[in-house]
Amino acid sequence: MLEDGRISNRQAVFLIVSTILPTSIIYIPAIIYQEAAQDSWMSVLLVTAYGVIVGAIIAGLGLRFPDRTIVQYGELAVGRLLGKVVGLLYAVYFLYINTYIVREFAEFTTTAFLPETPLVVFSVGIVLAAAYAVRCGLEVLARANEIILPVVLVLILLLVALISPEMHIRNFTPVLEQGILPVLQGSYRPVAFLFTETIVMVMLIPYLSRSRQARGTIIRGILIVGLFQLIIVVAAIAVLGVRTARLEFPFLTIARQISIAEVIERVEPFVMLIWVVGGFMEVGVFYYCCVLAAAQWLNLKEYKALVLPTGVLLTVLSIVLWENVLELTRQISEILLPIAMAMHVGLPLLLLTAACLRGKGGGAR
Amino acid sequence: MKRKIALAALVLLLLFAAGCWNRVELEQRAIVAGFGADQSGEEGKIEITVQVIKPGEIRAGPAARGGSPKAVVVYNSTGYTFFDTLRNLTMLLGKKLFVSEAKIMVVGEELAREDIGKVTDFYDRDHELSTLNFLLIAQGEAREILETEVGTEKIWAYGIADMVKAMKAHGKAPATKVQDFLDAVESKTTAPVAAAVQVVRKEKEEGEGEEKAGKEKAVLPKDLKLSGAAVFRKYQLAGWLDEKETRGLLWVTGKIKSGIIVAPAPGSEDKLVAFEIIRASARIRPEMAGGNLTVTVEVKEEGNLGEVQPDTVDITRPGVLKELEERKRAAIEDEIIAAVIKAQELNADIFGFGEAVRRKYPREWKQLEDRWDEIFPALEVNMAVEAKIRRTGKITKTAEPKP
Amino acid sequence: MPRSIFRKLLSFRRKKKRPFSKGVSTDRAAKLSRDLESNLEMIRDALGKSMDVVIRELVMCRTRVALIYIDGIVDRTALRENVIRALMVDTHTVDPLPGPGSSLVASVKEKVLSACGVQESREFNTLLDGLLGANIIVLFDGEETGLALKLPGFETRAIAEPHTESVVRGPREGFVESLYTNISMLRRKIKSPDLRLEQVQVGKVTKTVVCVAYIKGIVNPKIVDEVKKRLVRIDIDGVLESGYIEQFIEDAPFSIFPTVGNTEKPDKLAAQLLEGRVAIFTDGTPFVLTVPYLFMESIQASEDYYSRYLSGSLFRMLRLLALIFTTQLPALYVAVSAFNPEALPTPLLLTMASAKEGVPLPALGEVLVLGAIFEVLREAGVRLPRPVGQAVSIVGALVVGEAAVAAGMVGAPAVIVGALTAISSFVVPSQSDAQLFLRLFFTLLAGFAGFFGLFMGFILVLTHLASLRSFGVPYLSPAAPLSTGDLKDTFIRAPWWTMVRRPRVIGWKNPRRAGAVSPPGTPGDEEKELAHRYDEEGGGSA
Repeated sequence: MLEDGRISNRQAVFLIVSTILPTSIIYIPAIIYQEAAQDSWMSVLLVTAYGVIVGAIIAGLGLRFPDRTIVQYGELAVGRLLGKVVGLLYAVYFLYINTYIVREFAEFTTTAFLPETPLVVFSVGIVLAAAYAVRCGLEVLARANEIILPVVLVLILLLVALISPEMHIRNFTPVLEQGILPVLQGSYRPVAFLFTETIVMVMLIPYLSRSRQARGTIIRGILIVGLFQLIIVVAAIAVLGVRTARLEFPFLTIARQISIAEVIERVEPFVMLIWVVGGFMEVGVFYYCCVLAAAQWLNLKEYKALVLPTGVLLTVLSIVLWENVLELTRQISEILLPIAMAMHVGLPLLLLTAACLRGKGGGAR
Repeated sequence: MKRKIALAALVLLLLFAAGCWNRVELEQRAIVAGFGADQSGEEGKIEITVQVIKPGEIRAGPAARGGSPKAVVVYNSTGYTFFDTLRNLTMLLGKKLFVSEAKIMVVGEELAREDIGKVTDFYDRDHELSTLNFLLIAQGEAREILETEVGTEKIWAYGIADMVKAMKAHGKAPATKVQDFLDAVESKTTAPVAAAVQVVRKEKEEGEGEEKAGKEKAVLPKDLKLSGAAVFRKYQLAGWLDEKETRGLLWVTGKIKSGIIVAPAPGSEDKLVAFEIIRASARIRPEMAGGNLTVTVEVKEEGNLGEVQPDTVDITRPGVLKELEERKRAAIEDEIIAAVIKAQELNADIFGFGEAVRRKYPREWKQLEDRWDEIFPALEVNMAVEAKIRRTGKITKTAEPKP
Repeated sequence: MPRSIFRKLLSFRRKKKRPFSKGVSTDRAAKLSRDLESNLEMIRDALGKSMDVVIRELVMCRTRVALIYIDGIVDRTALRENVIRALMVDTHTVDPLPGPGSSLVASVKEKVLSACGVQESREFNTLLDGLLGANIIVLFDGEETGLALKLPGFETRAIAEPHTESVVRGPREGFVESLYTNISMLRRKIKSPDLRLEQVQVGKVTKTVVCVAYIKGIVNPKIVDEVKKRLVRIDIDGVLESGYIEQFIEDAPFSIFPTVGNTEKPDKLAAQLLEGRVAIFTDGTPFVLTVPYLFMESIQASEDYYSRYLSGSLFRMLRLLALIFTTQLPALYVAVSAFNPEALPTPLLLTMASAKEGVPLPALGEVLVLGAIFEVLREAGVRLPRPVGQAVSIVGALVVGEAAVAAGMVGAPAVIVGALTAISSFVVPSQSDAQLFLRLFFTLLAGFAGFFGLFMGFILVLTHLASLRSFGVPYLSPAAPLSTGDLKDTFIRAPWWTMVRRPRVIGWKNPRRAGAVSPPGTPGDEEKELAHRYDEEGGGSA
C-alpha cells in the first residue's frame, strides 16, 4: 500500500469540513447574495440538499470498491485503457483545481492583509507547508486537522456572536421579492464548488477505518458545512444587507464591523487565522489526493518522491496561469465551473452506471 | 537531512524577503486621528486635512502640569482624489499615514454640496480605513473644524468623536457612520443624513496680547458645536435640519436613546417641566388602502419626570400625571411633525419610508419605486405616539413657600 | 506496522544483536584456580595498583582465607562484625568444616557468614564484577570457588524534597542517586505482585544498572518489549545520567519536543505506571524516565490530582495559557507593532506608540535582545551559588527593567512583554527547551511576515506535533487523534470518581481503574438516618 495509515471516520468528517468550509465562507455570501439577495439563505439550503445528493453518488461509487481509490477501480469499472484515462484525469484535475485554490489563497491574503507583499510569497509559503504535511502522510494531515477545525469553528461562532448586536432582522424582508428564480440562480455557482469538493473522498474512502460507513461520513460532513454556511450567510444578510453584493469578502467586512466597547475591534487577525489554516487544509488535502493519485497511476511504491515536483508545479502554475484577479474570477466561472461539474458529478455518475451495468465491484452490500 | 536543512533555509530566506514589504515600525507611522475634506480652490482638486497624533505628547500629562494641551498636528494638502491627496501628505510628513485609528471624517459644506462620493469610495475600498468612522458635515470648512481645539481631549478628533457619541444623551444630532451613509445611498429611495458641526466663535473682549489670560480663564476662543443634521439626496447635500427636526427624525428611526423633553407645565403656561427619556422605540407602518398609501409612525416612549419649575402643578394630584404624559406626547409629535414637514420640503426620504413600503408591499412597490419622488412630498404621515411617565424623582412636591 | 520514524532512527544504529547483560574484561572465560596466591595475582593484575582495593588475608581453622573488597563502597561495620569476626572468632564455636558431600565454601556460606546476599562462583569475571559492584569477595586456599558477599555501604544523599517538582500538597520525598533506594520507594507505593522490575546493564565501562519498571496487566507488553529492545541497542562506554538513555531511545531525535518524560517524584511515577506507562530507572541519578510521553503531560502536574478537581482544572488551563503566552507573546508583540497595529484598542496603541518613540531598535530587535538577555540572566542564576544568583537577578532587573527603558534603548511595552514571557516560561518546565525554540521561531516568523508568518508557523508546528509519536502513541493524543473519553484528564482534570477508565491510548489492557461511578456526595441510607437524627436533636435543644 502506498499509504499505510488509517483515519477514523470522525477524522474524515473533519477533513471534509475543513476542505470546504473555512475558505469558502470568506467570499461565498457575496456570490450568493448577488443573485438571491435577502433570500440567500434559501439558496444555501438548496445547495446543501444538492451537496447531499452529490455526496451520496460519490459514496455509492466508492462503496462498490471500498478498498480501492478511483485510480485503482477506474480500470475495474470501465476497462483497462479507459480506466487509465480516468485515473490520469483525476490526478491532473486535483492538481488543476489546486492551482486555483492556491492562487485564490494568495490573492485574498494580499488584497485583504498584506497588499505590498508579492503574491509568490504566499503561494510558496502555503505550498511548502502543505508539502510538509503531505510528506508526513494522511494520518498526520487528519490529526493536525483535528486540532485546527475545532479552533476554526469556535472562532467562526465567536465572531458571529460578537457581531450579533449589529444584526437587523428587517434585512430579511421582503421574502421572495423577485420570486424563486434568483434563489435558484444563487445556488448555481456555490453548487459547483462547495459541496462537490467532497470529490476528494474518491481518494480517501479506502483509508477510512470503517469505510463501509463512508456514506454517513460524507453526508455528515456536508451537513456540518451547510449549517455553518447558513450561519455565515444569515449573519451577512442581517449585518450587511444590500452591501453584501458589493463586497469581495463579506466575512472579512463582518469581522471588521465588530466593535464591542471599543476594546474588541478590528479582529481581522482572527479572520486571517481562519483563512490561513483553512487554506492550508484545503490545499493540503487536494495536494495529497493529487500526489496519491499520480503515484497509484504510475504504480509507484512510495509517493514521497512526487511531493516536491508536484509542489513546484503547483506553485509555478498558480502564478503563471493568470495575469490578475479579474482573469482568475472569470476563468473560475467560465472554465473551472463546467470542468468541476463534469469531474465532480458527471464522471462519478458515469463510472457508477458503468460499474452497475457491468456488475463490477461487489463492495456494495 | 541535508535536504531538509536546505529547505528550511530556503523558507527562512523567503520569509526574510517577505519582511521587506509590509513591515512598518510603529514609530514610522503617522497615526491619523481624523480627516477633513474640502473643495480646493484649484479646479477639480480636493483638499484633505488630517489630524496626526503625536504620541509623545500624550504621556506628557495634562496642560496644568506643564504638558501641552494638544497631542495633534494638523496638516493639509490638495490632490485630485482622496487617495492621491493622502499620499501627497506624506511629502509633508515624511512618514506613512496610518489611517486605521481615524475616528471621524468631516466634509466641508461646499464639497458636500458638490459630491461627497469623492471621499466615500476610498473609505469602502481601502483595507486600512474603517467605515465605522463618524461622518460629519461642517457648516463651513472642514479644515477649520479640525483646527479647532477641543478642550476635553488632547486628541481633538477623538474629542469630536466623543461629541458624536454623546448624542445618545441629547438626541439632537445623528450619529452617522460612513457605512450608514453608504447603506442609505444604496437604497433607491432613502436619503442619507449626517451630523452637522460648526465652529462657534466667542466674542473677543480682550486684545490679542491677552489671549493667554483668556486661556487661564479656561475659556477657549472658539468651540465646536455638534447639532442638527445635513440631509443628502444621493451624494449631494440638499439641506439642513435644525435640532428639533433632527430629534423628530431620530424619533422615527428609533435612534433616540435618551434626552430631555421640555414642555409647558399645565396650569401656568410660562413655566416648564422637563422629562428624561429612558427608553423609546419606533416602528414605521405603511398602510395601503385602495391604492392610497399612508404611513403611520408608531413611537413608544417611557421616561421619568425630571424637573418641575416651582409654582405650577402638584403631581400628586390624581390626573396630573396623565396630563403631563399628554403634554410630553404632544411635544414628541411636534418634533416629528417638524421633521416630516422639512423632509417633504426637501423631498428627501430621510426616514426610510420607501424601504418600509418595499418590505411590506414588495409587489406594489415596483410601480411606486420610480414615482417615489412625486409620492413622498405629498405622503400622508400619521402619528401614534405613546408617552409614559414611570417615576417622578426623589421628591413628590416642589419646595414652595407656605401660603 | 513499523513507523517510518522508527525506521529512520534504526538506520543510525548498529543492527548487531547483543546479549541482554554484558561485562567487559580481558580474559572473559578465566576460572579460579585452587591456588590462592595465583587467584590473588589475577585480581591484582585486573585491578592494577588501585589504592582503594584492599586484600585482607586471615586464617580460619588452618585454612588461609583472603577477603578482597573496595574500601569505601562496602559496609565496614558489617564487614568487621559479620565477616571478619565470624571467620576468625565464631569458627571456634561453630565448626565450619564441611560434612560429607559438601564443600568448605558451601559450608562456610551456610554456617558462618551472616551477610544477606551471598553468591558462589567459579568465574573470575563474575567475582570481579561483584567486587566492583560493592561485594566482598572471599577466596579460600585450595578451593576453586569464591564467595561474593553483597554488603554495599557507600555514602548516599538523604532523601529530600526534589528541586524540580516541588508541591504544596503531596508527598515531599524525591528520588536519590541510589537505584535501590529509588526502587524501594516505588515498591512502597505499589504493593502489587504485578509490579515488575527488570534489570539491564548499560555502558561498557561504567556498567550502569538500568531498571525497567512496569505493572504487568496494565502496561501494553509491546511497549515494554520496544523499550527493552531500544535499551539493549545502546552501545556507549558510559551512562552517567538518564539523559544519556533518553537520547538513545527517543523517537524523534531531531525534534525540539521531548518524547520521553522524566520525574523525580515517586508518587508521580507510581501514577504514571498505574496509567500503563513504563519507567526506566538509571543508577546514579534521581531522574527516572517514563514512556510513552505525550504532549498533554507537560501541562499536567501531580498536584492537579491531589487538589480538588475544580482548582485542578483551573490550573491546567492556566498552564496552557502560560504555554501560549510564553511562546506567542513576543511574536504577537512584533506582529502587532510592526504589521497590524490596528488590532489593538486605540488607547493601548497610543501608549505603545508613545513608549516606542525614540527607541532605536525595531520591535523584532527589542524582543530578541530582551529575550537573549533574559536567557543569559537565567543561565547565570541557575549555575551560580544561591546568594550570588540573587545578586545577578537584582542587577538584571535593575539593568534591564529600569536603565534600558530610562535610557530609551527599549520601550517599556517590550520589557513588559519580555517579563511576562519569562515568567510564563517557568510554568511549564517540561517543555522549557521547546518553548525557547518555539518562541524564537514564532518571533522570527512574525518579524518577517506579521500575522501571516505567525499563522504559517502555527501550521508547521502543529503538523510537526501531529507527526510525532512516542513509542507508538501519537504525541498529541488524546486531542488528536481524538479520544473523547481521555479528554477528561487533559485540559481539565475531571473528578476522580468520573475517571473510571485508564487512558485508552497508553494502557489498553485492563481499562477499569475505579469501581464507583456515583459521586461521593450521594448519601447511603444509614447516613441519611444519621443526618435526620442530628437535625432532630439540634431542633430539640434550641
